[in-house]
Amino acid sequence: WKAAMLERAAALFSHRAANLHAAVYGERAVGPPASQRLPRAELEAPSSDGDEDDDGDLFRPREAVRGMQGPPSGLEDCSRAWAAWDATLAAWADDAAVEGLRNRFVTGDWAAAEER
Amino acid sequence: MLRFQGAEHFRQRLVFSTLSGRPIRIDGIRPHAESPGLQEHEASLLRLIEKVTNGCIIEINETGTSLRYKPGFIHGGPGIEHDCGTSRGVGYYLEPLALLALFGRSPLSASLRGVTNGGPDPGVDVFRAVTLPLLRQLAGLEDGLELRIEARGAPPLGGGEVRLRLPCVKALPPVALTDEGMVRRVRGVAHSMRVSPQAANRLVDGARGVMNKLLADVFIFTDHMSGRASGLSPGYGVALVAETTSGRMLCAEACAELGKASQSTAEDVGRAAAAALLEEVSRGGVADSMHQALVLTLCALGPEEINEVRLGPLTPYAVGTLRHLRDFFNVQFSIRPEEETRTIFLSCVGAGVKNLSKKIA
Repeated sequence: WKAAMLERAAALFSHRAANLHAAVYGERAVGPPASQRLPRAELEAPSSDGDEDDDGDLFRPREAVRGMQGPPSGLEDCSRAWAAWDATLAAWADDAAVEGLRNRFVTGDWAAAEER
Repeated sequence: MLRFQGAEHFRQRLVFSTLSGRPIRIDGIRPHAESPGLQEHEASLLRLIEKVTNGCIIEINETGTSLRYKPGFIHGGPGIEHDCGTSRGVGYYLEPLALLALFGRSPLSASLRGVTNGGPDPGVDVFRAVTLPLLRQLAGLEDGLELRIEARGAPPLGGGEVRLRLPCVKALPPVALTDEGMVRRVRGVAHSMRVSPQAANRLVDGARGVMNKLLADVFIFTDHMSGRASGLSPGYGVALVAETTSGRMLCAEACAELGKASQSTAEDVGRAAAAALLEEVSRGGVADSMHQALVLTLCALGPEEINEVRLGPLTPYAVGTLRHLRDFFNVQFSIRPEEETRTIFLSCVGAGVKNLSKKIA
């Protein structure tokens, strides 16, 4: 099954590219962003801990249940895409990655840039 | 009346509602949050919109979780003062204000106080160096755009002040931006306030260390504020702009988070900004991720002919913008991705929004 993996992956991604319009405007893609969605456990068993006789736990904000990863809450309206610093820094720390961008700069190959 | 759910794209919904003249209703604004309903910055934005428009009606329910907004006319005008508070940066207010001001009755001149650099929103240096030139070009303006930084303010206390001047237009010209060009030089501003003036130089060193591998023409100005102009909190950061041979500008910025547990040195902040700039260049397109939404909006508001742009991978915010443009202005973009460069050509027939209230000169 591994043999055609590359082909299948390529097919999948080209398919997705063709469907970008559907992804942007279609019904399927419309929904709350991942950061807004509650964890599945929270949705399925909202009252499972109702048996506990702990008053402190009876009312608790649902927002606090969210994972600590990802952008801080309240960023649902921000034009700047949230990215973790260390991830960006790590991605561009290596010289090969930086050299890969050479042709996007005037110091690179102008002919290669023309083709874009 | 258009109905929406949730607090996402709050600014865009208000701005598009005002520009299209269609009333909106938003329900379910953070109903389950620890502090439910509208937050401080959203209430502040509503007050700012009340200041620049005439006759808008805003109704909010008791808990603040739903809002009805009936837009009025944009009058713009001089002498608008607004305290933005400290929960979001001044950039949060500048972006919607810039769009509204274009379709105002008279040129806008406003003074905004609050956090000018740092936090999640674009800093004022980015707005001055990239957003204003972009607006000038896409809106076909000659002059009259200006952002003066009177004082800088870092989070958490802010204390900065900027003065914004924006002219108004009758209608927008067509947009055709498909040539990315090659990066020919990098400019930037490193700012520091209430810290050692040396911090700005260290920021420059960090950023240059990364950028000089690819380009020699890197120049970063240092801007150390002192006294009253330095705001109420210490802070430093750097904004970098890559200018291409076709005149496009891509920007990235990074600011130190001084109050937070994870401390980073000034060099690290500079390197982070440079890495973010490389990221923007590698994404491609005529605008950086921060300005995708603005470019798309100006396309959709443009004349009823083909407006085309080329962008890198769309951010979630840009996708949300596309959906709102369809809802408010009935403008659908045709999206043509290019496999090899992983850029996207987006074209649309604009809504032909005209400025009905502009005084006849």
